[in-house]
Amino acid sequence: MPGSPLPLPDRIAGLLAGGILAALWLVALPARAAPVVPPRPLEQTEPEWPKGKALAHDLVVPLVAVVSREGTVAEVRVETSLGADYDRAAVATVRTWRFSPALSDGKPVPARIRVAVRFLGVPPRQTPMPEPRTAAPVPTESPALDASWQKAPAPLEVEVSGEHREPIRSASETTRGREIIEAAPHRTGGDLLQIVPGVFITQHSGQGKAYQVFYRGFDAVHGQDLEFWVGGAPVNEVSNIHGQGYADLHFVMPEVVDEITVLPGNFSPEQGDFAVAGTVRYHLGYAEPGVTAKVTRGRFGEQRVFLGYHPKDDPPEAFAAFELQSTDGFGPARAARRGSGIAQEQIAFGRGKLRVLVSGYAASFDSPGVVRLRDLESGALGRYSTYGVPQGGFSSRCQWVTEYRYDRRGAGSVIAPYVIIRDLRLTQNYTGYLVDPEDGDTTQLINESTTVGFTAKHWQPIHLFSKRDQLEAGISVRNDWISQSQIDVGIGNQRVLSTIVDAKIRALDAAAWTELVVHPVKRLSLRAGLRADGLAYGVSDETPSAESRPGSDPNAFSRTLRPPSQGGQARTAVGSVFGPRATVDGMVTGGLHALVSYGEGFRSPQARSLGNGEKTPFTSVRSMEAGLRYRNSSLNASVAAFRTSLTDDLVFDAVTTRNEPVPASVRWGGAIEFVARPTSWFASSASGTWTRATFTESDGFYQIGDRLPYVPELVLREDLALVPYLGQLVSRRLTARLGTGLTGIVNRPQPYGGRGHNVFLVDVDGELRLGEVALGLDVFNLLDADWYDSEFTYSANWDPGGTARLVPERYVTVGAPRTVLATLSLFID
Amino acid sequence: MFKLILTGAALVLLGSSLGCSSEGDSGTTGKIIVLGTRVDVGQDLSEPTTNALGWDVTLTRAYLSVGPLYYYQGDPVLSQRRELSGGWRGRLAWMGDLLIPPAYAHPGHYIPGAAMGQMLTPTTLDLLEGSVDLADGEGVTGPTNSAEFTWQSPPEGDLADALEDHVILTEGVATKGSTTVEFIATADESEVHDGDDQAKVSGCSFGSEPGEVGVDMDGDGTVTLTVVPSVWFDQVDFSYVASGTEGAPEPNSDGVVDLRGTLAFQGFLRGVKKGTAYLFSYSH
Repeated sequence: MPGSPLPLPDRIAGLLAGGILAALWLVALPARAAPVVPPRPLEQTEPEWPKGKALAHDLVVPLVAVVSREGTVAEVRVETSLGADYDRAAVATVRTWRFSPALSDGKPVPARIRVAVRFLGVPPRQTPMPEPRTAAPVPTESPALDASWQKAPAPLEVEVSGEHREPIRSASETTRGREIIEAAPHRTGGDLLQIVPGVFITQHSGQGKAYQVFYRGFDAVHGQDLEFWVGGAPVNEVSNIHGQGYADLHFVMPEVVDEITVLPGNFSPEQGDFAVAGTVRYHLGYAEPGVTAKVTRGRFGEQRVFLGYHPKDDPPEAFAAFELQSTDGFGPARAARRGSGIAQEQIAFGRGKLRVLVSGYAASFDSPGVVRLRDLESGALGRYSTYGVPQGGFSSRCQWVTEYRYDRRGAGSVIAPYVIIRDLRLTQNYTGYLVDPEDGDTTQLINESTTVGFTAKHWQPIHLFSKRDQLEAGISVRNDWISQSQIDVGIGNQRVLSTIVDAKIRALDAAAWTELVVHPVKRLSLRAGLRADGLAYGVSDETPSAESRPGSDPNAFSRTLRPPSQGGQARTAVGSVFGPRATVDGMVTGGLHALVSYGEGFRSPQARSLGNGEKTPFTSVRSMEAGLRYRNSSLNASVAAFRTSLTDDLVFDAVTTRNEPVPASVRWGGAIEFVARPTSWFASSASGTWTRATFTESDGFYQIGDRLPYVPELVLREDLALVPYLGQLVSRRLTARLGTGLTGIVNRPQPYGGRGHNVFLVDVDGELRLGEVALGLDVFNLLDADWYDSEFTYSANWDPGGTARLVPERYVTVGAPRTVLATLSLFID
Repeated sequence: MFKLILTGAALVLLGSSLGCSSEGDSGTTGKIIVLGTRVDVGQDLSEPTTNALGWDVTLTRAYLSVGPLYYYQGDPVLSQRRELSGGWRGRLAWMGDLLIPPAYAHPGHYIPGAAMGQMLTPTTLDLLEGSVDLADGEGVTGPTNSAEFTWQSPPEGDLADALEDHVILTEGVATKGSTTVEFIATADESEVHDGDDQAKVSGCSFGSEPGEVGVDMDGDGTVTLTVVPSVWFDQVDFSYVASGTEGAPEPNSDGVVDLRGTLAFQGFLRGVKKGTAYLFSYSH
C-alpha cells in the first residue's frame, strides 16, 4: 500500500543487500587495477641558488611539467614566477629529473603534473599536507590526463620518511601550521587558541590570567575540560584553587609555535585527565635562521622586545627565544607585564633524537574586574571604567622537558620526563559587597605547585592483516605537590579577614594504554585502544574550622552551599578509570576518508572536595563523532557531527567563585573546517562549529532540556594569509605579508533565559620585509567594535552604602578597542 | 581562490550583522520576571485589636518609611505561622512564648540564599489608606521562601515631611478596663537596627498567602507585602504610660503621651522589628 512501511522481511533483506554491497565495495575496489597511475620520481637533483646567493629561508618555485612515456621531462614551465633567476634555475633543475612514466591501463602515457622546486634555506617543514600520518599513500587514482592545466593533477607527493607521525583518530582532528598561525596577529601563545576550530576564548581578569576557553559546547573555564600540552609538557594544573585544570599559555611566544594539533573528543588512548572536550598540542619550533630582534610599540603604552635565535642548518626545533612585554592597558586597572625565555635543542643521540626544552616565565597584571551592564548602558559608568576594587595577579612558570625519540622502519619509542614549577596568585572580587557589605568580598588565592612526570610510548608493526598494522602502548605518570590558600581580605586595606582554604595536596595520576590498528582490507583501518588511569590524592587541610565571619557567610547568597571546612584533617582518596577508544577509518577515494570515532574519558574532581578514604568520584565522559575528511596537497577539509555526554557537570557560581556540581548533560553538534594552500603565497583556514548543550537530568533547579549557560552556540573563524614576493630592491628580496583573522560568536546563552551579545572581530596584520629588515603593523579589532569579552549573569552588590541590587543581572568585561602595534624587525644571519 | 575571497567577504558581511544581542529566550533555566508590588494591611484598622497584655489598641495614624524589599530562596527565621488575630489565641501564643521563647533571627542563623527578587524604590505609606501599589520590582523564577523588609532613612515620599526623620510614626488609643491612653509611638532608623546593625527585618515569610512559606515564582506577578500593625503593639504594656502611673511621661497639650523613653517603647520596638509584622506573598 502506498505510504506504508516496508514489511520486516523486506527491510532485513534490504539491509543485508546494502551490507553486502558495501563489503564488496570495500574488498573489491582495491583489487581492480587503477585506470591511471601517475608518474613517480626516480631521480631528483637539488637546485642551486642563482649566482650562489642563498637566501635565509626556503624558496619554492611551482612549475607544471609534462613527463614523457620514457620518464623524461618533455616540457616544463613556471606556474608562478618568483624572479627570472629563480625561474631559470628551477626549470633547469626539473629538466634533469627522471620519473617512472604514467600508466594508463598498464601502458606508459605522457602526463602533465604539478611539481615544486625548493631552494633550501632552512629544512623544509612546509606542506604537502601530511596525510596519512604513517606514510604518504600511493594515489590509486590519477588525475585526468588531458584536462586543462587549471585542473592540473595533484602535485607530486614527497614522502617524509624517518618520522613517526601521530595517526588520525577522528574526522575533525586538525593541524594548524605556521602559515595559519602567523596569518592574524597574536600576542601570546594563549591567543593562538583562537585559530583552533570551535574555540572561543575570553579574558575576564587581566592580561596575565589564563583565558576562559569555550569549546564544542563546553565551558572549559580555564582548562578543566581541554587538555593542553606544550613542547611535551602538560599545562593543565591539577586541583588548582582557582579552577581544576587551570592552563596558562601566556608563557609561549607566538613566534615559537610551529604547529598546533587539535584532537577533539577523547578518541586517542593517549588523552587522559582534562581531555573531556579534547586536546590541544603545541609543537614548538622557530625557522628563521640566525638572530631575530623585534621591537614593538603601540597604543595604550604597549611595548615588546623579542629576541630569537635559530641555527641555520638545524631543524626548527632548535631555537632560543626571549620576550619582554608591558602595557598600560586600554583602561584603568589593565596594566600588565611579562617576561619569558624558551630554549630548545634537538640533536642526534645514539640511534634516535634527543630534545631538551627549558623555559621560564613570569607575569604580573592588574584586573579591572566585572562591571554591571546596566551601569554601562545607562552611562553611569564609562565604557572602560571600573568599580575601583583592586584586583590582579602574578603568574610564573618554569619547566624542563627532555625527550628521547627513536624511530626506525615503522617501530620506535619515545620517553619524555618533565619537571614544572608553577606559582599563581590572584586577588579577585566578582560580587563586590554582596557577602560582606562592610569589608567587601575580595579573596586572595595562592596556588604553588611542583609537577614531576613522564610520558613514554612504543610502537611497532604487527602483521595481522597487512604490513601497515601496528601496535602501540604507552604509560604516563604525573606527580603534583600543591600548596594552596584562599583568604578573604578587606577591599583597599588588604586586611586579612578570614581564611577559607589552607591546604596541601599530593596528587598522582598513573596511566597506561594500548592501541591496536589493523587494516583488514586496503581501504579500511580499524583502531581500538584501552586506557587505564589510577589516581590518588592526599590532602592535608589546615583550614581553620571556625565559622565564617558573621554577616559574611559565602553560603548566604549562593544557591549551592559551600561544604563546611574539614580543617585540620588529613584525607586520602584513590580511584581508577578505564576508557575504551575506537576509530573506524574508511578511505572513500584517494584523499577522502570517512571516520567514526568513540571514546570514554573522565573528569577528575578537585582534591579538596574528597572525603577521607573516598573512592575518587569521576565524571564519566562518553564521546562520539562521525565525519568526512579530505586531504590533498593544497586542501584539507572535514565535516563532522559529534556528541558528548557527561554523568554530571559543573557550572560557574560567582558567589563561591568556582564551578559547582550540576546534573548530567549532553552536547551535540557539527563542525566544518578547511585549510587551503592553493599556491605558495596564499593560505586560508576557516571553520564553523555549532553546538547545543543541554541537561539530561534535573536537580530541582535545572530541568531536563534546559540549555547550559555561557556556552556559545556558533563559533566561526577565518584566517587568511597572503605572502607575495614583490621582487628585488637594492639586491635584496622584497616580500610582503598580509593577514587577517575573523572571529564570529553567535548566541551566547545566559542564565535565566538571557542572551549575551554576539561578537564579530577583525584582526589584521601586515609586514613589508626587505632583506634583513622588516616593518610590520598589527591591528586588533580593526572595526573598533564595541564588544563584551566575558558575560555573566549572577548576583552581586557594587553599591556599598547605597541601594543594593541583589537579583541576578548581567555583568561583563569590556573587550579591547582598536589597538595598533608597530614592529621593527631585524634578521641577522 | 575567488571562492575563498567570496567566502571571506560573506563572513565580513555576516559578521557586521552579528555585533548585537540576540533576541528571545535562550532556553537556559529560569527567567527574569517583572514583579508588581502591593502593600496590604493585615487587619481592619478601624477596629481595635487586643494585644497579649489585654490592651485594645486602635490606630489613628500609621506612617511607614519603606526602603527596598528583597525576596530570597532561603527559609525564613520562623517557619511557623503566627495567628493574625488577637484575643485568647494571641494570649495563648504569648503564654507559649514564655514557655518556649521563639527563635528570633540572630546574625548568621538566617541564610537568605540566592536573591530571587527585589523592589528598590523607597516610599512612604499611610496604612490607614488601605492597599496601595508601589513601584515594580524584578526577579527570577524559582522557589522563594523568605524576604527582607528595609526601612528608609531619611524618608522619601509624600509623607516624608510628616515623618520628619522617623521611619515609623503611629498614633492611637489603647484601652484596658477603665484606663485609656492616647499615645504616639515613633522610631528612628538607628532604633530599628537588627543584629547586623542594619535597618532591616530579615527572614520574613514569603509564600502563596500571607504567613505561608514557600512559593514557586514561575512568571511575572505581584508581590504583596501585608503589614500587621497589631504585631508592633502585641507586647506593649501601656500601663507604663497611663496617667497616674509613677514615672509615666506627661501627655502633651492634646493629651497624647509619647511612648519614647518608657518600657512600653521597648515593647513597641521589639514588635516593629518582628518578621511576623511583614508577610510577603506572590501571586501570578
